[in-house]
Amino acid sequence: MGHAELRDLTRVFGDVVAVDHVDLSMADGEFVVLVGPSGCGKTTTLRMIAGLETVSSGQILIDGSDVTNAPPRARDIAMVFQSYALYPHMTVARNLSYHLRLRRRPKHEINERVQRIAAALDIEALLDRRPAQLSGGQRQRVALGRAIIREPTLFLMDEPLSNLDAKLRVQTRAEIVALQRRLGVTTVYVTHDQTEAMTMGSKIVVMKDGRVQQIDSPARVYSDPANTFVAQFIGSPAMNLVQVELVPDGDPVRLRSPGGWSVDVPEPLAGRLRATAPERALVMGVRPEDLHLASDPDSGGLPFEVVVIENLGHEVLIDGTVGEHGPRAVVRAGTGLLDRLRPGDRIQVRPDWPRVRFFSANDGSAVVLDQHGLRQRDEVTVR
Amino acid sequence: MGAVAAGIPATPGGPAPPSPAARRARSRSASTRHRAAGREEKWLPYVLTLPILATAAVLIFVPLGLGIWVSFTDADTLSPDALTGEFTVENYTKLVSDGAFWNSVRVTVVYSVGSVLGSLVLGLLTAVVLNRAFRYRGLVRTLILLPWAVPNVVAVLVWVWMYNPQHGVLNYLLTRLPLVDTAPSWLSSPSYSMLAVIIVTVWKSYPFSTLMFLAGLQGIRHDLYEAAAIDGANGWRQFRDITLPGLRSVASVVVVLVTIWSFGEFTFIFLMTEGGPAGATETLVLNMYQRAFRFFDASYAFAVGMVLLLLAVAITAVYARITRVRW
Amino acid sequence: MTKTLTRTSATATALTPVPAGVHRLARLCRAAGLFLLIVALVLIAIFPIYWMLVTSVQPSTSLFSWPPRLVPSDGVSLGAYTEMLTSSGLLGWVGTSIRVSLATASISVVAASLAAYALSRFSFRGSKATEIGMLATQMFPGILLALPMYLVFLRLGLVDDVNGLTLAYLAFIVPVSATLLKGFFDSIPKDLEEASLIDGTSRMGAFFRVTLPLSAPGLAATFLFAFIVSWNEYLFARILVRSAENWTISLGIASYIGEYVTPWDQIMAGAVLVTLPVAAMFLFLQRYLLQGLTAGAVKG
Repeated sequence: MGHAELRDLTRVFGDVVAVDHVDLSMADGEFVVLVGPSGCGKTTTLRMIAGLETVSSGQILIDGSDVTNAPPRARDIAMVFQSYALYPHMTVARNLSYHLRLRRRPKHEINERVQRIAAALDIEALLDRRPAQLSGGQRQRVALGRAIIREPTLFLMDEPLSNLDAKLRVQTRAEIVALQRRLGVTTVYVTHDQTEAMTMGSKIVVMKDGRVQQIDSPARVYSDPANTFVAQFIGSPAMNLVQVELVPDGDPVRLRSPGGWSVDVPEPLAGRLRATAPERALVMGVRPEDLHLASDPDSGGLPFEVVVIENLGHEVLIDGTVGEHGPRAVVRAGTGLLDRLRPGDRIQVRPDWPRVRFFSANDGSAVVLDQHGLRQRDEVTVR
Repeated sequence: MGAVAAGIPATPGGPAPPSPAARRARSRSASTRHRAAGREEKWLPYVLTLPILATAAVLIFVPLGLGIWVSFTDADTLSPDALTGEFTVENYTKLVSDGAFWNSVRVTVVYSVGSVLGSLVLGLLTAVVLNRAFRYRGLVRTLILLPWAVPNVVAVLVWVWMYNPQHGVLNYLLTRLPLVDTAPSWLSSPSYSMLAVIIVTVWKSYPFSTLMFLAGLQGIRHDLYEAAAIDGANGWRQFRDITLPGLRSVASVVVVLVTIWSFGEFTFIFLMTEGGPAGATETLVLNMYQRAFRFFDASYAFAVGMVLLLLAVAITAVYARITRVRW
Repeated sequence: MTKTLTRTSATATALTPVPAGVHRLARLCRAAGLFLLIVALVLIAIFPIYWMLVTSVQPSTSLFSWPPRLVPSDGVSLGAYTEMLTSSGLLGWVGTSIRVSLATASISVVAASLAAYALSRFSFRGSKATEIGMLATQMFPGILLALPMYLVFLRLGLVDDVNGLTLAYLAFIVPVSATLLKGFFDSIPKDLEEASLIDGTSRMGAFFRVTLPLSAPGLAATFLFAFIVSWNEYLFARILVRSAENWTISLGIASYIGEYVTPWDQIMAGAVLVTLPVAAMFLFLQRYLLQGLTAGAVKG
């Protein structure tokens, strides 16, 4: 079995808190992705799980036993390094079998397992070569093989795809996911690439400045980001964020922009917004695909000034501002628009209201709407 | 909307503005060396450095400390008894009025400046030439480095033979030159012996300067020259405005290292002139050696040594500053 | 583009009507100048070495002939070499030097590699001071160490003792070796050791199984460096060794200087014999040495 748990994990370098009270539990077979910008503490967290970094405070449990201070060799983990870290002085076969040889497994067993892994990863022809004679993609496979040959409790992967070219990266991404499903080994995967996080993880941990921002499924991280940071970090292009002021006692309920325009909110959202305190500064968040060009200029949308139109072939990204000199926003639309729209055009965009999210203008945390009105997310505790 | 209303899984504590410490975490310096978990990591580095530290303590610090102590005693014998002298500062007061000592300070400066200048100029010239592309450059480079590979004692022997006033090839070649009719007796003439010693020192040390300058030249980006050429700079202007500024840091390292080496140089001078004739090449090192082994005046020799030590510390501090070693 | 260039050069020609031949002449002069400069520089570097070789094969009868024979025109004689190898102390000095140099180099590499590894991989209390101290030992005139060491060794009975000389060499060669080796260890990615830690070794296991095999070139270079330094050393040998039977090669061949009758052909033959092996090692090593000596002083 392979469940693991981080309890209040903290790592301090001098007076710098690299990892700040991280709690995380990983169920058996889960694919957990730690994602965040560089310096967010994701790699340090992974290295603490591996035992390569000392823990300042907190606990690490693997399969229920406390390994916080255990050396790496006592943890039954395997790791794929960003640099692959293949031993340059050993052949591929010896790289693969290094762990088994250290454990003094019988020779026939070692050979059998090396052959099986090499066959599975399609690197049989490379067994007698040295790492220096391999291409980047081949090295990546050997690194992967060295990890899976151990049949460990936990796989740790530190940006294993970042040294591959774009095409190979997409292909390998799918292979790693398939491999992990087949082996069913709990995996912790570190990346700065939100696309990798979204496509690979069964659970995503978004980190920033050493702190966990959100732990959720990919779908939920995308649709219900815990704060404006997650909203902008996950998804490309990022979620559009617009400062608004809530005018709840009018009829209909309106959102007023400091830029001068305002927009009516339809039911049932209006009712929920109405049920709250009088006036409140909010950040409205809408994904680019949830903004629709309104055919009728007075259809109750947001004013939008087109700046750039990017044709991606299968779709069009319309880059512009909400209102005059307002916040920048992106609208995703079909290619049919290309003939009709010009930079400088002033149009209306109508949000898909059920998919609109609100954040506190103070600290950026998500605001949860229910019948009782506005409620800060932090009251909801989920572990 | 249901999903939203049902409550979004959130992190305990929720998103909070990052603490100043956490913000600094982003710029966590890459130089932070990692410390792996485990008890052994705590004591291991100490165990590993113990042999070298013990060696240094016994073989460097103890002798150095003893030297300092002896310089403050009246020991006048070069035997273990030298370690049991009486405390006095007389050696240092004697130094101030010792003409031979001041002579060796002057000689040391002349010798060092001469060696550094020679090594610097010849090294730079050679490096600039070697940095150009021409056929057999690799061979020429190896040939020019050869002096560095010759053992010091061998270099001295060869040059002493070449300096030979009657049969030396140097004087033969010199007299063949137009306008030269001197045939100096190099090593026994007070006016030529310093030059003779400097020549050998430069010959041995300039390949090092050459290699350093070559490395420096190769560190200068080529597009700077292209940009300068487009701006209309000719060869000399390019050398003055790009090459020389680009070599400044290398040059200062060369100057300091060659200064330090010439300061401590013993073999060349001792074997060629023993500091003579009449003290013309008696540097501080030679002065110290002669005090100890010719006059057996141990404490006075060490007092001279302390002056040497202070000068070495000063130059080392300059070196540390140049190479940005943090102390 | 091509058109523009052609037009520009045409204008230039029109402005300064110089026949094409003048440019070619100028280029030729410059090439000739460079050639002469290269020849001069090569002569400065290798003439003394050439002269050592020529003298060593000169028949002793033409040794003091005037003018000196710039090429061995009186025939080549290997008599000086046989003389040197059979009836001088040369072989004995070489034996002593090999003994001292081998011992120094072996012990240096072992002690230095442990310390260099600690300094390369760990940051611990005193690590910076140790590193700087090692660098500083290179900066002090040897005589400051040799003279007090002589007094200490007198008391310990280590003067005029081959082991005493080895010990003295260790004092200043181990720190330099450690500086050199630290550079080598620094160039080996620590990922490799971490991979080994995860694959199931201890820290020392990773050192012996991964780092050390990968540093083989560095270890060899450091060994050779230590060997060459002790082979060439003169000052400590001069001070710490007295009797002729303990002479190293440096002391031995230096002993000819200042004698009344100097057999220059034999001395040069001996010089050639002791130079050849270390010069070969030295040329092979020079690029490593430069790295170690400058310790980060040159970027790139």
